[in-house]
Amino acid sequence: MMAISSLSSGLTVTAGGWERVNLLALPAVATIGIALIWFALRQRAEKAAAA
Amino acid sequence: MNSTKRNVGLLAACQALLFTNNSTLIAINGLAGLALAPYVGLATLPVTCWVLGGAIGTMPASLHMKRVGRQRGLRSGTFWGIAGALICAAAIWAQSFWMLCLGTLVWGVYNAYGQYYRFAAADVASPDFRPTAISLVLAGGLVGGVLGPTSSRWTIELLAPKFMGAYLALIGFALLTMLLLRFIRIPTPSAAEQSATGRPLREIAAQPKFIVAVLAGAIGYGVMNFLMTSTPIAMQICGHAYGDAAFVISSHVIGMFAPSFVTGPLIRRIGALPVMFAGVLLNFVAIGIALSGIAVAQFWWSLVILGWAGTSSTSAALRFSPRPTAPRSARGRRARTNRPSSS
Repeated sequence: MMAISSLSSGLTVTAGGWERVNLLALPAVATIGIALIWFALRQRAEKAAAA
Repeated sequence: MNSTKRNVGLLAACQALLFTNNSTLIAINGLAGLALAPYVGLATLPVTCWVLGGAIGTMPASLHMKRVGRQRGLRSGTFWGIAGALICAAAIWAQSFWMLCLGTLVWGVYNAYGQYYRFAAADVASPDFRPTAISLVLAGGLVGGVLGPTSSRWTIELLAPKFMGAYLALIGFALLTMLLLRFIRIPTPSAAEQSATGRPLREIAAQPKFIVAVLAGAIGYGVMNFLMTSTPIAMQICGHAYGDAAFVISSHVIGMFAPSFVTGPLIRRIGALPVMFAGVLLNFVAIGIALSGIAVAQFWWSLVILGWAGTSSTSAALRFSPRPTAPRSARGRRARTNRPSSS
């Protein structure tokens, strides 16, 4: 992940500029958010089932 | 001063010197790559090689230290730093992009050894003092975040061609680290500690909690690295001076380390999941600021908040992940709870 992000950052900033670098980071951050929401809902459902 | 405190102080100084070098490399590698690359898109390949060197070196470094002892292993690790810096300086002198990539790859191995300073702190400290010892060593990264980019402002054009002086200065920091390591006394772990094993990795990796933690930690750190690596290049393209880029990188590294003092207690108080959510929100804020403009202030705020976000999400993810239950892992657990992302 680190190697890919390092290499692709150079390609992106030189080809598309700083704005594109940031726009490309958005879906990755959103993926983390979705994964966390999924896990929190799963945890809540498990607790409800156990209660 | 007792020997434990002295040892922890020396390890903190070693960590400071390691991050002096690391933050310098973050600031100059992309720009040196941009100056030498046969195709501008490859500008960050030297940074990539540095990352790969660290990844390749981590396991051999651990095995090496298990065989020869932590202190001797850490000391020999600094040779990789000196060799890497020499190759980088030679690459700048010869204007060879591929030699620069080789130099940063070799330097990465030094970074791999350096990641064990925090574990050495756990080795030298008593169980009660261990969390504090690890935090103190990690605090060394704060000092490095200031020293590295600040010193590189002076050394970057000290010698011709540009960047050669900055790479040569790294040798001085590595030599100083080697000297400090001579005075540290690290006890060898007992046979029981060395042979202790945890739960099988397959069992841990099958849990959804583990998958979410790995996803959040890896992507979170990947995003931070993606933005951080391109910052000096983006700032140069936007017409900002190197001194401004160095200041932004310095502040980012401080931003990465400073919250490590509060993330541990915060995770214990409210749990890892809310802290990970906070990390995601901070990432969105950092990206929002970056998209709002290209002034130095916008780069600065964006990168500082990105540092906080990276530390929050990765340290919480590490705390969140299920644990092996063997006694030896307890040290790593404490280290990971407070660990900021190590660049």
